[in-house]
Order: sequence, then structure tokens, then C-alpha cells
Amino acid sequence: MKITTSFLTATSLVVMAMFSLSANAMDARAVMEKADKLQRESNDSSFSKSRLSTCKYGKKEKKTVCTGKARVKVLETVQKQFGDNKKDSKSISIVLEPASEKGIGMLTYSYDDDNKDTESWLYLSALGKVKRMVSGGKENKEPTAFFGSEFTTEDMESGKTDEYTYKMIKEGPYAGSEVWIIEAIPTEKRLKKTRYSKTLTWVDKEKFVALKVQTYDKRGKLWKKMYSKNIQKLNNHWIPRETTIMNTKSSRLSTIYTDDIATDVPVNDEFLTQRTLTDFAFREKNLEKLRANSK
Amino acid sequence: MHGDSMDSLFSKLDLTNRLAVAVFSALIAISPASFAEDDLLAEDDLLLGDDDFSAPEDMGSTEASWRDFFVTSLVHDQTRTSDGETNYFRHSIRIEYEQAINKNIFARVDVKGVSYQSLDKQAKQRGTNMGLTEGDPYQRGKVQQAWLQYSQGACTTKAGHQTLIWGEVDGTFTVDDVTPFDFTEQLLTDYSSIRLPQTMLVSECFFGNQQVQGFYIPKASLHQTSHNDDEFGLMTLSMIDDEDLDAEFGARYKFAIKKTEVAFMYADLVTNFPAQVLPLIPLPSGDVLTPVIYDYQLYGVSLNYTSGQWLFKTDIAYKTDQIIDQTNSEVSDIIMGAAGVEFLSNSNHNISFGIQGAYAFDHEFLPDQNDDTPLFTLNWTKTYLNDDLSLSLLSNGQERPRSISTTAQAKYQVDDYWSISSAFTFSDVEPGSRNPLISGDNEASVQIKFQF
Repeated sequence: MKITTSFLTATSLVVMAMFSLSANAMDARAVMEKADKLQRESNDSSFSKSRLSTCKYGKKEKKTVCTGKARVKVLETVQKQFGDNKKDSKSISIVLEPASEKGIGMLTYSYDDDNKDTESWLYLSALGKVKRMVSGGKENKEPTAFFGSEFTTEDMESGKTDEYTYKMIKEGPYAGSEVWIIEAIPTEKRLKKTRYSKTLTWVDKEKFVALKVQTYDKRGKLWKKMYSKNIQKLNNHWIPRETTIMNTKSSRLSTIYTDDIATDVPVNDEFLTQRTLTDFAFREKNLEKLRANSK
Repeated sequence: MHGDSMDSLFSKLDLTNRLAVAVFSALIAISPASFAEDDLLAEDDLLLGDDDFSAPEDMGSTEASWRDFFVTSLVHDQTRTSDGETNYFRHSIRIEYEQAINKNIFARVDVKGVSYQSLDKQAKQRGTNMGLTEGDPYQRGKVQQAWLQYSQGACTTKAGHQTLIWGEVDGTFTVDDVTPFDFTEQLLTDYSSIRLPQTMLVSECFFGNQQVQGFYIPKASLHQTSHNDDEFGLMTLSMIDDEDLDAEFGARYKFAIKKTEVAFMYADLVTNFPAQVLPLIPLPSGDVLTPVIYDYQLYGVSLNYTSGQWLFKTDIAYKTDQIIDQTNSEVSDIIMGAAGVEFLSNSNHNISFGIQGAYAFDHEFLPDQNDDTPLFTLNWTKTYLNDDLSLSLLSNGQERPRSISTTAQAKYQVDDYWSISSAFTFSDVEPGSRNPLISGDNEASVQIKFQF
């Protein structure tokens, strides 16, 4: 009896430990899926005015600072999620600064379905014409830098949680919040499209916002670090007002400061069409309404 | 007894066993990655805040200002040929203003003042000796754009000085006949000035993925090749009867279906480029053919189709009453077609190729017009240095009559204000070439721009 009891106890403990392992793995995916879902919800029907700053960085008195003059772009972006799982998106970005790029407008339709290509159009202010852009393939494609910054299209995309396997690494305090640290390894399918072999994400347990992300190259070396700061609650969405990405290889960093943002605003579907690129009166009329709602 | 010994043994070991199992289980419960985690911790304490980053000091003001509505550009342009001749030497200031006047009206004004220095070919043309010596510098203003746009409901109307560009295949002009060119401008380093704006009314209505557009131009314009109204030059406005510059109008219907965008166009136009016909006009500089402009109708269709890394484009136009025989002003309807393809590689090289051909139906008296080979364009573009440096290679021309030009171009954005552009062009042109975009000179161009 005692043998059986001991054996059963040991077995039970082992089984419980195994469940604990698998529970952690499920929790990791559940955490990332929830964080991704909340991020997409915050982007849905949103307007933002952002400053994108890029510079070379170095250390000064143990702080990371820009070592040269930063290049600054100011953009207004309107975005809306579509599709059954709200994983498809339409967005329009208008460049306000610098002067050399003022007036450039880009309209993008992104789809979660790999069989559907991203569609984009660019307003060429020099010609006064809308040009349809080639989107590029999805496999083996070098990610495009977002307006010349260290943020790439891959760093900014969402809704691809099924292309990774997740593992809970650690839990504990970080920068004043309780976090999970979750490792994401791309699946074989994802490996063809990504330049990262692994990603570590520090997810705030209360807000489900990624406070820090570290990405690693195909040789397993640390490549980029991304930080989100000044996280504020707006319409039940936690929004980081400041996101910085640091490229450890090029010693270059970019920061997006969200100066104004409005979420859950009524975005006219017609606004997210080519009309907005050429009908400036229509564009400004709609943007004024969105700006009035922003904080 | 054996059983009792065993019971006794397990009884004694029970606590030890439990402890061992608990420890063992705990070791299992901690993921194997924890051994790797220790490696991570050894490199970097994952739970400590680090990289305390400071924002750059000069991020610009976010407060709205009247300056937000203006862009000012100061530009220096210079072009030299391989013979040492200077074609362009000019400075300019350009001021662009745009603002929503109220919730339905938007205004834009874009004006430029150019100072043509004595070495500039426009200044030289004002001088004597067939433009071969320096001329007197002069200044000239130009309104690039000046319009008001009113938007209401599904429609918008734009009235004023503006351009209208049709067509999909870059570098070809099958259906792109509405807005003429300003050939006095530097073609290669600044595309924003090369089209000659006209006073026109453009209205558009948008219905989902469909657009309907109409335009009206009270008085047609021609390509501008010179600022001079003197007798020098083959195609000057002084030779054209102003009354022949009729009104122009047209419409376009465009719709999108899946990955394809299609547009149908009709326009009643005046040719932008006068035909050169007999009789000859006697000039002190020598006899020249008579420039003649004519009205014609354009029926066109354009489409683009995208698939993955490819973009396919085509323009087809049927044009009536084209004067294509300079000996007897014979007219003919022609059909023109252009096809193009654009490819974006995995490493973001953008390559495009286009081809344009024309066929004249009534060619009994034509001097082998239909033996002309198609016009081609080939283009490669790539950005480097975080999009600060843009390199491109453009080649266009045709084999017969021979006119081929290849340009290597670079644009470098030094910072948020300064940019430098340069271009090197190699041309091979034989007499009789009808391509106004290819000068025949080997040239080196540079543009320095300061914008704020």
C-alpha cells in the first residue's frame, strides 16, 4: 500500500509538474494573444499624430543619449481594423514634417491571410498623382524601414501570434510593474519571412502591454531592444506614448512619440480610400473631426 | 517477513522519498529553459530596468504655427555638357502654401522665382550669336500651382492653375497628353517643375471603388521650350496663332476590381507639340518648317494589376487626326500602346520596364512612319543609408530613329533641410529623332536644395 501510495504520490507530483509546464506554455501563448488582441483593439478606429525621431546613440554618464542631431518626422495616421478577427487593417499616413516630405500620403491595406498581398498607394506630390506601389512578397522579403527609421514593417505588425511558439521564461518586477517574460520562437513558416531567430517580450501583467522587447538575429545575437514608456489609459486602452527601438548593431535608435491620439473614433470607411490622397478638402475635413477628439 | 521488511523500509524511506520526489518534481516543474535562463541572467538581469534612455533635446515644437502652412525651398541648379558647355546655371526660390480655408475648401499656392545666370542656356538664347555666348542674366516668376478645391458629399472640384497626369506606364505618354511639359526646367533632378500647369477645372466624384473625373481647360497650352518670343528656335509661341489654342475637355472613369484598376478616358485636345510641316518660314537664322497645332480626340484605356512582387501596367490610346507627315500635313488616326512591368525584389530593388509603340492607319504617303521601333524605358531604383540616399538608373529611347539616353542619378538627404541631387546622362541621338525628352548631349547635373 505504502509503495503504491508513494509511487502514486511521486507520479502525481511528476504529472502535476508536467501540467505545470504545459500550463505555463499555454499561459505564455494566451498572454501574447491577449496582448496582441488589445493592441489591435487600440489601433482600431484610431487617429494619432506622432513624432518619429531617429539618431545615432551612445552612452553619456551611464545614460543612453543621441550623439548627433536627431532626424524628425511628424506624421498623422488613421487606422481601422477589418475582417472577422479584426486582423486586417487599412491605414493612411500623411507626412507633415520635414519640409522635403511634407504632403506625402500613403494608403495601405494589410491582410492577415498570407494569400492576400498588402496593397499600397503613394501620393506623389511632385506629380500630383497617386501611384500604386508594389508591395513585395511575403517570403524572404527584407522588411522595409518605416520612413527610414529603425522600426521595420515587421517590428510594427500585429496579428501573427500563430506563427510563433511561446514559452514563459520568468515573472517578476520590472520598471515598477509586474511582468511576464515570454520567449517567442518563429515557426518554420515564419522563419522564411523574419530576420529574427527569437524574441523576448516583457509583458505588463496588469496592462498586457509589452514594456520591453528584445530581438535576436539568426545567429542568436541580440539585435534590437524596444522600450515602451509613459503608458496611459485612454478609453479603456493602455497606450504607450513613447516607444523606442535601439539597434545594437548600427548604434542607431528611433523613438515614436505619440503627441495626440484618439481611439474608438468613428472613422469613415471612405476616408481610408484613394480619395483622401487627392481630395485635400475632404481629407482635412475628416482629420479636423479626428483631431478634435484626440488627447 | 519480507513484506514487513519492505513496509518498514518504505515507511522509513517515505519521508525521504517524499522529499526526494518533491525536489525532483520541483526540478521538473522549473522548465528546462531555466538552465538557459540562467545563461540569460548571467549576461543580463532580465528583471532590472536598464538602458535609461533620454529623449533628444531638439525634437521641434508640437505647437501649431502659421509656418506649418508654408514650405520654402532655395535651390541651385547647374548642368554642364561633356563639351564643357553650361546648359543650366540658375538659382530659385520656391514658396508653397496650403491650408484648409474652411471645412469644405482647401487652397494651395506654389510659386517660384528663378534667376537665370549668364551661362544658362535660356539667358544665352536671349543674347546674340545663336545662343553660343553668354547672355544677360534675367529673372522670371512662375506659378506652379494656384487652386481652390471644394469638396462636398461624394464629389470634389478643383479650379485654378494645376496639372493633370493620366496613365500608368511611367516614362511613356500614351494617354498622358493633357498637361504639357516645361522643357526649360531641369528634367532630371526635380520632377515637380517639369510639367507646365494650366488653368483648368477638374471635378471628381467617388463611389466606393469607382471614380468619375472630368476636366475643362479654357485655353490649351503647348510644351514650353524657350522663354524667348524672338525668332530663334523652331517652336516658339509667337509662330502659333493664339486663336488655334482651343479649349480642351475630357473625362475619365476608373474602377477597381480585385487586384486590378482600370480607367477609360476620352479627351478633346489640342496637340502639345506642334507638327513641323511645309512650307518653310524664312528666318534670319535660316529657313524653318512651319509649326502647326491641331485638334484631336483621344480614346484611352489604362490598367494596372498587382501580384506579389510584380505590378503590370498598360495604356492604350486611339488618337484621331494626327499630323505625321511633314511634307503635306497628311493626317492619320493612330493607335498607341504602352506596356510596363515593375518588380520589387526581396532586397527592395525596384526595377521597371516599359515599351511604347504607335501605328498609323493611313500611311500611304508617310515616310516609313510605321517602321519606327518602339520607345522603351528601363529604370532601377534603390534607397540606402536608411532611405537618405536614393540611387537610380534610367534609360529610355528608341532604336529607329536612334535616340537613346541613360542617366545615373543620386539624391542624398543630408539632414531634414539640405539635399543634394546629381545626374550623369549619356545620350546617342541621330538627326530626325522625334523624342523631345532626349537632348542628345552628354551632361552632368547637380542640384543643391535647402528646404524649411
